[in-house]
Amino acid sequence: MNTAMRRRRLGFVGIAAALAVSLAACSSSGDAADTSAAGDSDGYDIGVLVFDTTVPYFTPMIQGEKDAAAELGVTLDIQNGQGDLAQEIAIVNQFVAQGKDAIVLTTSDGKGIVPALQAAHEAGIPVLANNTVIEDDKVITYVGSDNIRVGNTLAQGVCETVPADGKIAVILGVMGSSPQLDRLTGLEEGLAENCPGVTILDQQTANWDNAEALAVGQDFLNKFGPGSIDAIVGEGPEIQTPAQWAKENGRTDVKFIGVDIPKSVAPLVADGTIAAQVYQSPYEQGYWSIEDIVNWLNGDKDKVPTPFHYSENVVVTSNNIDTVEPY
Amino acid sequence: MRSSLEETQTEAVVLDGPARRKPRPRRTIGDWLARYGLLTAFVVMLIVFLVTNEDFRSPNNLLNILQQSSIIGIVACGMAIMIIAGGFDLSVGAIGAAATMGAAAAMVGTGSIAVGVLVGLAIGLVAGIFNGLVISRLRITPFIATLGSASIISGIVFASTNAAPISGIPAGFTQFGLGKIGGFPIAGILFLSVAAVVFIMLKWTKIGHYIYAVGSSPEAARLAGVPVQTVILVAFAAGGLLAGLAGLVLLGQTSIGQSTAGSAWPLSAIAAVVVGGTPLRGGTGGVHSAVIGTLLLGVLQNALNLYGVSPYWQPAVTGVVVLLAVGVDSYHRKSVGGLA
Repeated sequence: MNTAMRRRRLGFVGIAAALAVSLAACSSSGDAADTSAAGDSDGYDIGVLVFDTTVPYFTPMIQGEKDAAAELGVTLDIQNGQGDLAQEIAIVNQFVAQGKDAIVLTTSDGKGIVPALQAAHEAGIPVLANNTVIEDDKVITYVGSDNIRVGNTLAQGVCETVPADGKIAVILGVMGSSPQLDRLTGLEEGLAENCPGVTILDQQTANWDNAEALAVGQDFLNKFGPGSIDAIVGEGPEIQTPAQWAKENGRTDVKFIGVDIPKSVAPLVADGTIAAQVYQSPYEQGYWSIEDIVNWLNGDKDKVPTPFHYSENVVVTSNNIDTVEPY
Repeated sequence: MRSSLEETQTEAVVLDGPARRKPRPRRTIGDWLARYGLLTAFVVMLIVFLVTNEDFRSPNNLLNILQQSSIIGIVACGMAIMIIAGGFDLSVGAIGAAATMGAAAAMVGTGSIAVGVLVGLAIGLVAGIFNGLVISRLRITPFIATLGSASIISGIVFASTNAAPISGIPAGFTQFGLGKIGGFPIAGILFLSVAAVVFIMLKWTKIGHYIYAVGSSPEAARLAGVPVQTVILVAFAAGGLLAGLAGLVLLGQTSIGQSTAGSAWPLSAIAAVVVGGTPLRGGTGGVHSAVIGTLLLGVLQNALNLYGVSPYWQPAVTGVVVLLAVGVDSYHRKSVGGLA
């Protein structure tokens, strides 16, 4: 029912987007001239698209973008894509039609957005990919975390926590989504490289959901009794619910390791309920994306790392939790 | 009342198709299967798992299943009322998330668990009454009405909280979601109590009987003097209230108010009720379907995890089992001449 509805809505928005594309194509050449003049006089006007501003991870990222804009004296027009590719395409077209000086894109679909970027390229508007890689070589650079590296860092956390012949079970994100696939690849690679004796006993999805992660974690703990498992590893922060439950139910023999440190996870890392957590810095990522695009517009293109500008991932434990800023 | 409704239905069938064969005598095996086919399928499945998997039969695991199923179970009890009344509610997930956020904010703000619980339940009740009013007074179909209200509720929650999760609720409240009384999970007790109350309401109260009448035929119910608008209002208010309660259990289990929680609830709860044997057309069925359907899906999910079935295969296996269970049930209903 849901899918059918969604498809119909997509279809409708798709038509609207197609109309917008054709309109934008008509008007873009006229507007482009205006833009460069405006850009020189009073700071750049940068269009920022975030595919879903309600995702908690993006709150500090957007703050980083705003802070960078304030410091560098540029104007941001931040738009919410509402998690819908058609909406994102419409916003990109709107940015091109408005003759923005540059576009910073956090898209939900690094492939699907590519055709819509053609109009921006034709109008000479530089596009920077933030948080999600866009499969278009005309995009000036990608700022953000690399999920394979996140997986590598997660493996590092596992290797530092469990014995050399340790046994782990993995709680996955939404099956087939790129963070799920890439973090798992990175985890497997990292384990093979750093602690090849560690084996993955089982893996199940919890769809990035706290309640589902709790159920999967309980099932793992039931299936693998004390002594037969060393750690449960999560691809995201939802590892917090099974970690809390294990602590309350006396399964302190099992360590928990996951990714991301929202405010609810930080105290659990601090008190050792979660043994280790990978930290990605969304604030830094947001800041860098605006800094890079402004450098590019100023002609300092050599200051912009290309084709990737990776933010740092670190393993955080109770020892260094004070050094990071939860979001 | 229920049996008289069944008689009414039999009459309706005869009127619809006068050439249909005579009703068979009662108490045949087929008759029994038609009534308990799904329960049988569930019990068979349960026995297979109990015999073949020692992790599955550990008492802790069985209690975990009850606790894991309790959130969707509570939502499904409310959904059963709304489905029997001839509607359904796509906004239960949004209501649950709103209740979770509201309760978390109230608990963090006031430090009082009681205030948080009241806020959560009030949000559920108000949202349910809103749905009921829109459907009964404005005569908008439940599909559109609750799709719209889901959007409105999510929007209000996102806007008022910036979609940031709320943490730091009193530690004692996790007992509500994860605690046990005499080894029995509190969330499970809550689920079964809700089911018992709904059972009593549907079976032995006037409003319960009205709900069947309205779901069967609103026009006939109106002519018979049933206050149709009030009945619809009550059904959706109850559904909203229970979604709010489920939100509180979720908050107890996760300790975090999350605005995006519950997105899978509407479909999961509708599926549980329908899998449990209550058809979407309304006017028939009972809360037992919500209980059996939820436990069947919960047991299956747990068993798939314990057997280590690949997460890539799990949806396919779940689909096959659901079709088999419902298929067997529906086949036997047809074969005894009842409505599937």
